[in-house]
Amino acid sequence: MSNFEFTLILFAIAYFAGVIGALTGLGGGVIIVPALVIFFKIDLRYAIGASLISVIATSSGAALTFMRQHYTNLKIGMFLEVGAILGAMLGAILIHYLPLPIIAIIFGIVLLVSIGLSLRRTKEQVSVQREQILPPSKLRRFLSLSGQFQSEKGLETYQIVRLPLGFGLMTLAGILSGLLGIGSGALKVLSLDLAMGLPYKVATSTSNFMIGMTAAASAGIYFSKGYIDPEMTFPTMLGVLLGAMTGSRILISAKPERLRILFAFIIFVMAIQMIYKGITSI
Amino acid sequence: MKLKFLKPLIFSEELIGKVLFVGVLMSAIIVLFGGMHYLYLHGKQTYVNPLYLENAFHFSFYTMMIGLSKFDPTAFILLGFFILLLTQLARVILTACYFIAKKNLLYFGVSLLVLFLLVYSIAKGFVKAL
Repeated sequence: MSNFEFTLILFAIAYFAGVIGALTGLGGGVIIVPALVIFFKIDLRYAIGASLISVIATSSGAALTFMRQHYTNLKIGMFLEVGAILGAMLGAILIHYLPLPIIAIIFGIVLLVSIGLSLRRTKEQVSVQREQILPPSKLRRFLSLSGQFQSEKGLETYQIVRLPLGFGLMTLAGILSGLLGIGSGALKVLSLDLAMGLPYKVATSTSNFMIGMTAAASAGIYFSKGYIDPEMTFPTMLGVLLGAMTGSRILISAKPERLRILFAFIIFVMAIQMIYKGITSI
Repeated sequence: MKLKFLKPLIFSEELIGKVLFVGVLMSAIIVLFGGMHYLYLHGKQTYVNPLYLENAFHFSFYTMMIGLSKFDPTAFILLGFFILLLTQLARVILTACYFIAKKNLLYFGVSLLVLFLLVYSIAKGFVKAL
């Protein structure tokens, strides 16, 4: 195989990873990392480095669409980003010390949990009790923990609850992002939506707002360790970026529920393979 | 008067989105250029899966600049990645400006803290050997 063929095949696979990542809402990272490791036998750390760059690109490319909708809560996003960035830097340092098989197993498990979370979303639109009015404590007023967004019914107000839990989960999401090279969007949305009570649309766009910054913090550490290989990362980045754009177009024109379940199955198989690879190489 | 009219426009959410979009577009174009150049020079060579851990890819901002002056394709790909990271800094800086325009000092401070952490991390990646 020549360098040209390698780049072309890698680009094609990254493109499909981007499409599937957008359709399932899991992001390209969770698919490109196992693909690089399983199909190309690329060292896990370098696969994660390439994925991080793709994650930053995808998140920035989608930002314009999200920002125009005005759902993003910049305050809570920035506040939680402090935890996410600290976690991301910790995760990026951890990968230097954890044995690769352990990272592969963690990756597989996180993948399985993420599929579960994304399928849950298709079955039932989870709605948490948001009506409960909280006593306006000093801290809540100090942090101005409420927000408004424009819905079909008009301007809706929401309150933000369980801030410490959300902050903790966000730090965990950061660690996973730095350790596994994924955006950990599923966990970010989960902590914003289920734990902190933000409406789903606000949670997804605030999560997108945060993902790029979190991944950039990890990418800096990866660069310093020499884990980002330019020749392998460039087709990955461009492929995932284009694929994600195609994927979000498909999402606008159709609601491909069956396709999502099929892709979830593909990701499930990859997750099992990652865990198997990890266990057999211990 | 004109300035007053412009003020809410200047640091709007759309601006953050637009800057990010332009940033990622610039980054992708430069990465594509570097990648094409790399394939033109080395595309026909046989692909070798590098034994990464023994020879991790090390570079700095300084070596990148030298590479750029020599028209080295790898340096162009790195420049694209560097711009992508700078775009994330822009995201934080613009959000900080958004809060200062709204006179929200608390969240301005939070944004500065995030900015500090991000600058530290990116600098660690690029400036270490300067």
